[in-house]
Amino acid sequence: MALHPRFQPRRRGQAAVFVALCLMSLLLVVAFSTNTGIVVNDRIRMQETADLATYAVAYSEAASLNDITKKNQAIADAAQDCRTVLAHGGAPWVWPCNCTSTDPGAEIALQLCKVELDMAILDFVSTASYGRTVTPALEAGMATAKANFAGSERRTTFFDDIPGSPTAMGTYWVTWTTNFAGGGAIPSIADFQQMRDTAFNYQFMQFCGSHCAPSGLAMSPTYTLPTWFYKDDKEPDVWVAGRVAGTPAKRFLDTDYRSGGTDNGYFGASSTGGDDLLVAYAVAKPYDGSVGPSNLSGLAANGNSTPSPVYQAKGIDYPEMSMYDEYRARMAGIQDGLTGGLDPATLVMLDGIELGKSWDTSRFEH
Amino acid sequence: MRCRRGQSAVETMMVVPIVALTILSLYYLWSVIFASENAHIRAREYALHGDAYLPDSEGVSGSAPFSGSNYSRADSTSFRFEATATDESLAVFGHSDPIEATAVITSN
Repeated sequence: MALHPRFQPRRRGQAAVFVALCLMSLLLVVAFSTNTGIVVNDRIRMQETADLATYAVAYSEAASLNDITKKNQAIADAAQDCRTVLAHGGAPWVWPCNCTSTDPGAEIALQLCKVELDMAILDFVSTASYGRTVTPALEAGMATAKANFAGSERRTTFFDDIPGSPTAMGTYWVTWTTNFAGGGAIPSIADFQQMRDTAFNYQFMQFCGSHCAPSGLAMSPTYTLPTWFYKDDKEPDVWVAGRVAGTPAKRFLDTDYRSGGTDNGYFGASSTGGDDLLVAYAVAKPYDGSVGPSNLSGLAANGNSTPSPVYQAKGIDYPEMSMYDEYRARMAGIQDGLTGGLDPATLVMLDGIELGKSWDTSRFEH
Repeated sequence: MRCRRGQSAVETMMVVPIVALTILSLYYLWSVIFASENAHIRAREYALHGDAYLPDSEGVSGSAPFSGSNYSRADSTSFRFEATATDESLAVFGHSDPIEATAVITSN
């Protein structure tokens, strides 16, 4: 039974309410989609920034390792020059009326060799120092992060300042001894040990007979000098792991932003740190080079430290030194390593920081 | 009493354009985001791998630490490699947005 029109509900404005509800829902959908789109885009840019910045660190370290390898080769070359000089063209050293166990002329040559070796060693130490290897690499990472994502910057008090961090100054060392100037140890990009028992000697003529008559050939004592370096690591690798993290600077993107408090953030995270950060990781590494011979097999790895190096200097068959300044950098995967615990690693944290804003320093600008 | 026939048709006519516009907007937004992703990824890959990944003719150009089939030897701690990639969102009502992304690997 139909109601009398007087008692029927009024329907005027029903469409308006319906349209308003639809509009509101659609507006929410569009807003959420826009928000998601921007956040996804940010995440992609962060991954790009992480990749490129980490690669920049690895490339800079590869260049440093090439420089280090060249300096190491210079030490080996200086040692070889010494052998060549002491070999004396295959002829014994001759000092008139010398009946001692050494030859004065050869000893002078040996002292000059030591000076040359020391200069090359100190050049190596300087080149391998933390300030010329890790520092420029971290700066390259920061510069690359900034160039790709305005507002991002390295958080300087994390990996490189915490004692024990793989990137912290003092985690790896180059330890050295010279022939005249003593020695020491300074922070470096990796642990470098030095060959300190490289043997040198020479052959000379003794004149112990009456009226300085030659009495025969003799060998000098064997001098063991510090020379080149090897990288005292399990693998000839240096790793770089980078992280870029941050939250969008625009508050509307964070659907439940509360300054200084805990919230659910977008996608159920917290904008005040922790899980809310959009995070991108990347791994890269220098490869394809070798700073110096490994010490894994002890002295056998040091081909020039045979008991009679002079005779090698005559000729022939210098064992390969395995110094290749061909380092380049490549992207890597977590599965490639970072698990042994013995490989040198540089960790760089390039978190997004919105400068000049005190309310949240983890936010980056669009 | 006023005639109410056709009310649903009117409501539908009001809502359909809004829904259509919304869907088009979302479609356009998706295409912009897709183009942006594409440009950024292409720029990054070119900055890392150069022609080995994408030829110059594919809307991307620049320099990379890569030549032939391998990464280049790291010559100096002072370096800069840069790649620019372009893409364009899909056209909606004849309008599309060009997207340009630059990827940089630099030491300073």
